[in-house]
Amino acid sequence: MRAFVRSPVYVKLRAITGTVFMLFGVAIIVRTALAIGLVSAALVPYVMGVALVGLGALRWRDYLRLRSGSA
Amino acid sequence: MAVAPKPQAAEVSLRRSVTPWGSFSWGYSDVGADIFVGLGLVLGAAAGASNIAFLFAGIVYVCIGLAYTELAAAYPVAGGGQYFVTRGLGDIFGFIAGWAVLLDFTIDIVLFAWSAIDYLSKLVPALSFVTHPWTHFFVVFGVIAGLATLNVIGVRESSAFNELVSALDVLSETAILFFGFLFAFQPQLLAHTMSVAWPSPFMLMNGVSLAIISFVGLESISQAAQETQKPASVIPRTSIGLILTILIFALAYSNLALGMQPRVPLPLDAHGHTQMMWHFLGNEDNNGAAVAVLASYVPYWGALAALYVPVLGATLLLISSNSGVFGSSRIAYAMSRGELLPSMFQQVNAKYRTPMVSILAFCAVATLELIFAALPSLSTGMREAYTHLFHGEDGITFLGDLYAFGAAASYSFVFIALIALRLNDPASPRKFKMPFNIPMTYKGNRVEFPLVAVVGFLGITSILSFVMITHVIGRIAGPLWIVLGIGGYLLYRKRKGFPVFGSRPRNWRNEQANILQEAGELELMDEYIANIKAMDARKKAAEAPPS
Repeated sequence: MRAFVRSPVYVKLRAITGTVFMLFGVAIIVRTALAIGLVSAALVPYVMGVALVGLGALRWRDYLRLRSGSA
Repeated sequence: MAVAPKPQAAEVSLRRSVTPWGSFSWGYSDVGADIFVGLGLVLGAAAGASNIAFLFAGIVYVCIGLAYTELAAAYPVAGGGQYFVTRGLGDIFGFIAGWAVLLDFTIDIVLFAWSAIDYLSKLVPALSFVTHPWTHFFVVFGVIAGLATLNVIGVRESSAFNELVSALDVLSETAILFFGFLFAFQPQLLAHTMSVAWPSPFMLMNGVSLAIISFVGLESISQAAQETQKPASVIPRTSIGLILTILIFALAYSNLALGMQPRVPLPLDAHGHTQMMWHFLGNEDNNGAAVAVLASYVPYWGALAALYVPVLGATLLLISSNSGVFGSSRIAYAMSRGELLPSMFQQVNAKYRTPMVSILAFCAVATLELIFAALPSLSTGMREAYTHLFHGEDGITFLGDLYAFGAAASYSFVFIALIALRLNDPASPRKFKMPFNIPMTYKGNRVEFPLVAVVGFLGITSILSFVMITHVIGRIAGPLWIVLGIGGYLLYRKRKGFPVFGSRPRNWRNEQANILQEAGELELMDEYIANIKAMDARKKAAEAPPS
């Protein structure tokens, strides 16, 4: 496990999972917007979608930092 | 006052061997288990507004997480909230914060052991709390006794095991939510459920007060800081990821529970009526294992999830229960060393070299809490008495009440301590700061006033007041624990001849330099010493008579 999280494969995996999280977040936002629009009941799904995009961005930042060797 | 860090390796200290991933998984195995307990309880209380309850508690949790991240990176020692509060506000407040955390750790032991057995009962019905309360009681008691024994003889789950379980759980929960949101989530159903099942203001407050238990365990950030390499850089990086992950899981599960079309029809309720998913998950049969039940109804993945989620959930919950045993003894040990608790709590067993007295004392408290929580299910007479006295709160809700009380009480002090430390200790380098600060001058020094800490403080005190308003047992037992603790503290301090309400004099400057040196943050230590010198020079210049 420890060897894996230090390996180059895991560095790339961060970019992949980061992309998946961002796409997942965008999908939830778009789907909610199309289905029920800008209503108060949609607040929590929107926040969740934004949080997923944020988590994805965080993983991309880690990926870029590790790739440039500044970790 | 001169700052003189002591020579390195002067005394034995904890080895700093925790990596960034280890730091994340340490926190995750503590906080990540909370949603397994919190989801069913919140659905049972807040019904159609459960996601709003999680959102409110989640916003407060983000503020708490940012506060702990800043403090743990600036003061990377294992004392946690009580250390920050002692340092920022003085001994007596440090004691109260630490004592509230100790309440939480004892509840943590029972609540997570209880919930672990609830999850296993989904595979082994003989362990069900509803149908076999005595078996459930004895198994939970056996788990507590077993964990106490393991901790006394010094066996702790290896960090490698922690890391593996955390990784499996993150993968599993992501898969459940992925399949759930892609194939079963209907935003229209969510909006419909929220409109038809919106709770009364009282029940919404009740739900919010229970939702905070899904976010308890941030003490682990500071515990990890003590053993992390380069904590000032690593802790902020891993903590932000941890905070976001936990927030997403809590919001996602609550949305899914309110807006999911299950892959197979749900069973009819006791009256033969169809029921909605949130109601099914929040009832007494399922609220102890809501994540496993929800996962089993997710399309495609559900059939597999029904088999492994109870085991994975129970494993994570047992790790969390064990962290209650370990954490309570470690906090009591730290408080005893800081003269906040009697010296017996730092007695180390000669054979096993573990703090046996602390471990046994807090496991005994946990056992009393277990008995109190289980009594109404074990005896009809006690059930009637609880119905009369406590509006019939069930065992797991009682534990949840106290858990929320302890967390809200200690977190309130941590926010005030953060503000006090920003004002009174501007010299300590902070590689991570909470966002949104107001620059100002305080006692001749440039400081930054943290607005997010004020927002967090208001949020957590409102949750504390919700606990007091909506939970009959919580508003009696929680304050009683604090009052009894303060009484004991005052007696102890008086007998020892220490300041009763004041603080013992301590050289925080040297201590901070030593902390940074031991953490390997030598650049920060140099920066700290330079800041101190500059502050002292400014002070001297201000006090000097004009020539």
